[in-house]
Amino acid sequence: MYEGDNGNKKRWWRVPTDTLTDESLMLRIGEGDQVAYGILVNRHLNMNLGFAYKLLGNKAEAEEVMQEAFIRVWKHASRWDPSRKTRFTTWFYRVVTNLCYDVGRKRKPQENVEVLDRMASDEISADNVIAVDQRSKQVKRALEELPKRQHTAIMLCYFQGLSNREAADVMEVSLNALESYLVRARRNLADILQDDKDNLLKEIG
Amino acid sequence: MNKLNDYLDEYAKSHSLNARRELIDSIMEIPRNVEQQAKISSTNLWLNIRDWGLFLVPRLSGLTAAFVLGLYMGSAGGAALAEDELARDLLDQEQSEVVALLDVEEFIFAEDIE
Repeated sequence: MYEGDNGNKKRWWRVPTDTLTDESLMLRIGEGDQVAYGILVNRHLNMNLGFAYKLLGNKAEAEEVMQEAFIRVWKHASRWDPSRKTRFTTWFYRVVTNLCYDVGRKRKPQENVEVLDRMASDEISADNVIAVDQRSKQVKRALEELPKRQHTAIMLCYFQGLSNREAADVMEVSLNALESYLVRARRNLADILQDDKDNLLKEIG
Repeated sequence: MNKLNDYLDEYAKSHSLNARRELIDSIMEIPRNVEQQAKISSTNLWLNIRDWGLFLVPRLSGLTAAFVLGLYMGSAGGAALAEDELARDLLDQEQSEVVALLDVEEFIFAEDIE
């Protein structure tokens, strides 16, 4: 509850929700406030679902990850410590990333074979036409072939719009390490995207 | 923006994903589900304690009864042991007499040989 000027308690949800930070919402969720939880879900669900989907390449798994991530939000909120100055976005991306890694680790070897089969057929069709959707498939394949940390770095910086500093915090690495992941990821991507390899390599320098 | 960035942008556009209504609903249900689970698990703990009680009480009673019976039988066994001891002593005495007799017979026999 926010205190009004006259000392009367004012319902916090009458305050425009835009002015509430994620961190203050977490504190309210810690007190069992389901409205605050709803606001946080609305703010972060779609963006993080897209992130999980791009990391895993599977819609159903991405949805499961999001459910588990929000269970952790609800359970962790009572222990949220504002004095640590952790940004909710950073913490939540970290949770989602780690859950995605767990899902990736638990995948059966057969599932990986299926992915490889599909990639082989994509490669054949990609030779035919240079169309946007085909190229997207190529990029998807190329991203899937990247090492896990490079893949995550590209996802966070290019698709989620995080700064390098924020992405480094999410991945719990130094800024230099993050930048190194990005450079190597771009080189590997250019290498994997064979069709335009020469052009891309020239541009990257 | 170079070509790789264009490619990545195209990919991002074609792979954007909006949450389904069902997913949003299930995520919004999480607080209620978590609280219900917490209640159920605390009830379960109580039920478990009761189950353990029902399992353990008859067995512990049986063990206690066997222990008490063992003590009683153990104390009664003292007299029986004493009787055994007495019987063994008597037997030893008889055996020594038999041995003495044998010695005598041997002596007699030896005398006869000579």
